[in-house]
Amino acid sequence: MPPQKMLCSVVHPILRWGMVLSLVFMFFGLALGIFTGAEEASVLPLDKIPSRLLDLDPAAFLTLGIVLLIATPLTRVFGALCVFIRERDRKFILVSLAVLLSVALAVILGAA
Amino acid sequence: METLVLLLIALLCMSAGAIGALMGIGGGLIIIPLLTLGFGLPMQEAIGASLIGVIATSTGAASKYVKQGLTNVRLALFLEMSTTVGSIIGALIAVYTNQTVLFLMFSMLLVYAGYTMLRRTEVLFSPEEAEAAGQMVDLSCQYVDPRSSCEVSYGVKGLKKGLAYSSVAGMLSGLLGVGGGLVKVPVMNVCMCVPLKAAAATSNFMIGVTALTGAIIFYGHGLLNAYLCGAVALGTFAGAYVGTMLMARYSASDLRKWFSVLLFIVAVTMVLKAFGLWGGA
Repeated sequence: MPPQKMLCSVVHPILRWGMVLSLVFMFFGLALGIFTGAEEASVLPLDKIPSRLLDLDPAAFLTLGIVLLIATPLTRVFGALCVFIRERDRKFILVSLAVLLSVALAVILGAA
Repeated sequence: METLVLLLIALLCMSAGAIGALMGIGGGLIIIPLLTLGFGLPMQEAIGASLIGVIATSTGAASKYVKQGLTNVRLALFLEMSTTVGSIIGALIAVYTNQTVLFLMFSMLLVYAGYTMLRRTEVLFSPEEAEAAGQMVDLSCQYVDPRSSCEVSYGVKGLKKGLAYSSVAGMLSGLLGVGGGLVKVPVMNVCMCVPLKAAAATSNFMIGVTALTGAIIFYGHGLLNAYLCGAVALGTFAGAYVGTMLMARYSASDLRKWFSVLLFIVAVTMVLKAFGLWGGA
């Protein structure tokens, strides 16, 4: 398979499934919130999501959708990195690692 | 937040998603004033929802553009290196800079980019020329134009210049909270000879990573309103889908003209922002 096609065959499903799953959870969370008349809520911490999902808390479904959405661009960089490792494309292994490192650096500096 | 308000926000955010997907920009320029001026929401809440909307636009549009081959994934990753570093530098020095002067300088840059895009016709650089030029990496790509169904093969030139300008684009978005896609698309199209549709799709793909860092920080601090983000994301997802359909209906020259008009409009809003007359800058 040509390199560009191989890359697309890995990145495309990540984007599609990231979109579908986050859409489903956010739509369900919003519908549940509107149906139950739940009050406004901010996002939940990651550790509270599983238990609140079992309680059918709309904020938990919305948070899960948001987390999946945020994770999607990061996952596709990892996906591309895996393709470059498989192809032994050293230049782009370094490029992908540089992107991941700069994202990590931005998060650390931003959170400080 | 009332159901009707959420529905209205989702509907209005569709326009941001559609324009974002079509032009390769994030849509924050539309979402933030919409939420602050239109619905009276606090700036912080609006920025958080806008970041989620930008990722939704990027993911929704890219899932289609990558499949069509319009997104040049290698080029996107290559430029993401410098935009992310640029945005970190921009955010770090933002407190030491005069925002009014920056907004005015940015508006002049946008007018110049818009004028250049209107004046010059698109120049293609073939993959063979790119190979002969001995670039540091080969970023050549091909796609099938969704409108004409013709296969377009192109090489990418000016990689060093592209990296430098992309870091400026990242720095501007770190400094002013806007500007990523608005600078990246003309840089790719005019300086690197990437066809406009591919430049817009690639820029759209990149903005997901640019918005990611801000979104993680907002999430970590619990600053995202779950219902508002849900409504904005659903609206922009739907809009991005419409934007990808529109991309197939218009020619690159039409899009180039519209992009120039968009740059002029944003330049005017930047001047208004500089004087505190728009979006609470």
